[in-house]
Amino acid sequence: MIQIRFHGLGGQGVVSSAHLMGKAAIIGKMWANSLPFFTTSQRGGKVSAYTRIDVNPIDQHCYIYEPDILVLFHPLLLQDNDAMKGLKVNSKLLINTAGQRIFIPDPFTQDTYCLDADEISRSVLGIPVPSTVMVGALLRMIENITMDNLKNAVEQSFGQRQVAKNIKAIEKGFESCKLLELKGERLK
Amino acid sequence: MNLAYISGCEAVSIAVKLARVDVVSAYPITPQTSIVEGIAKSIADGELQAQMVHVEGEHSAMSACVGAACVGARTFTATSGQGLAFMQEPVFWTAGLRLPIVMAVTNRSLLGPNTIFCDHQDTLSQRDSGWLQLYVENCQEALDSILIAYQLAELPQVQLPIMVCLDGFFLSHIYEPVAIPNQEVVDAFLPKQLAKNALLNPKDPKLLNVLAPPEYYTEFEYDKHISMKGAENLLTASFASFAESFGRNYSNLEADYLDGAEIVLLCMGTMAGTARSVVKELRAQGLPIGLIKVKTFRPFPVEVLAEMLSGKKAIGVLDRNISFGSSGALFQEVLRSINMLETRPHIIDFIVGLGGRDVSYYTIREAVKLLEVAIKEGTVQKNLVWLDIRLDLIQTWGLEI
Repeated sequence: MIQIRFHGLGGQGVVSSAHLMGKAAIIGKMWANSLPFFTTSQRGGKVSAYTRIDVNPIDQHCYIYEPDILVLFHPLLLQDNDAMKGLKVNSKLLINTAGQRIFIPDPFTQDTYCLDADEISRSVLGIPVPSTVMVGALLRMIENITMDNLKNAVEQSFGQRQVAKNIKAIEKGFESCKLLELKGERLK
Repeated sequence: MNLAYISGCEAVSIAVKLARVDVVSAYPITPQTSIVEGIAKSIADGELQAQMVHVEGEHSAMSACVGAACVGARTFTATSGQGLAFMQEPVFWTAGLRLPIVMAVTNRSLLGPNTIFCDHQDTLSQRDSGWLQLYVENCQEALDSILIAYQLAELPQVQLPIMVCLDGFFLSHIYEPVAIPNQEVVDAFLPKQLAKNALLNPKDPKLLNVLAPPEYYTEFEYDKHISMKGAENLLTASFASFAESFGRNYSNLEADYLDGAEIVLLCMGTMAGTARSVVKELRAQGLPIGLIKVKTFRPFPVEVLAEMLSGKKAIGVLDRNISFGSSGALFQEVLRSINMLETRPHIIDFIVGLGGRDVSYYTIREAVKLLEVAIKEGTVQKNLVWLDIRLDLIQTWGLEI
């Protein structure tokens, strides 16, 4: 089973990302579930969401405590204890960052992927809502879900006028996502 | 099979559409709202020929449903937490009038302090209302249970309302693959059976809800009790006919890994899935442990449970509720079954998951650990344990644990 945990701010499409990944998995004949965790926060407040993907039906309905993949929609979340909890040695990390100086917590042996999803979503969608960009980037880290599965999920989830734009956002996210070569150090 | 990826709320609203409900009246409350939104959309899109009665609160919602059911309409409502509390007065009337209304409740704590999150305090506060209560574990079961509920509620031998209880957020807002049944198969499974007793018809005038003096009242209650008890076997028959039509099996008490189990966990709702994954893992490691998911809480299958628990060494009840000053509600029911056994197993009540606190893998492992200790020591130190309780807060507040 792959367990993905998403953290971000209300309005960034964190929950939509979790559901899109789940839907793409189902389209790819896998099993999945995805669960948002809202507090009473509104736009700008902390939001997290969870996606499980497996080849077998999934029983668990609880939160994810030891994610295989941790997705941060904002680099500031690297300093958030709730967001960073439960990382394993082989967990992978995806961070939406505009290239600010970010500090990856130590000890840190995980593979860390980065992209400027805000900028991409601004240029492709016209708004800084990076959810589809981030799921596109996630494809780099997950083997069992194809680009076609994800595009199908977008076609089924969005209104007609939004589909083409968001498919482009996914492609851009996938292209722009880079594995950082330095680990456990200050990065530019 | 084609699977839709939908939330628990969507699963319920699709079930309502498939059941060809005639009248819906509800008032929005988190986390139930998207059930009613889904139904409203079905009506607006012309997919469901039903009347949506807009009301100013839950008391009126249930009252409108009572009126509709009294003229033979198949009726649905949904609520949650405080909404159910506000609705309580007509909730009891509904059972007294023997109306086969089905209500989905997205479980939410009863306040206060203020919260919108899940525990079973709301529906268990209606334990004695005369409604049947089915607790569901996943989105598929939520959809299927609504259909089963209508079939059962409308049986002449039952004629009682049914609550389908789904955990707020953990089920109402989780997205899962769900098989959507075919409309023709649902129609064949669910022919409409009109209520006999409480059917208002101007051509055949009758009086409903008259005063029952002490000479009569007890017998009305006894009648309700007998119908409720009888519903246990009828539910089993409904589950069987559902399995025949749709290929999915349910039962009042769903047992996993019970053969050869010495330790047994009991729970209701979404935590059953999480518990099953833990039990599976521990079984693979050689620990003789099993799980019973209590799907049907009212009527409570006390004899069947006693049979299942016979010969077991330690029972752990996971209660997502607390009757203050006593214990969890499920624990009290399980004790009735335990009393029927010749040898009494160790039993511990675990209070878990209140106000949306997650019932995680670790929660369940901790419960199992305490049950193992009970077997090893041959005694139970404490039979009421609050799991996952925050010691920092308890100490700050100067409370004992």
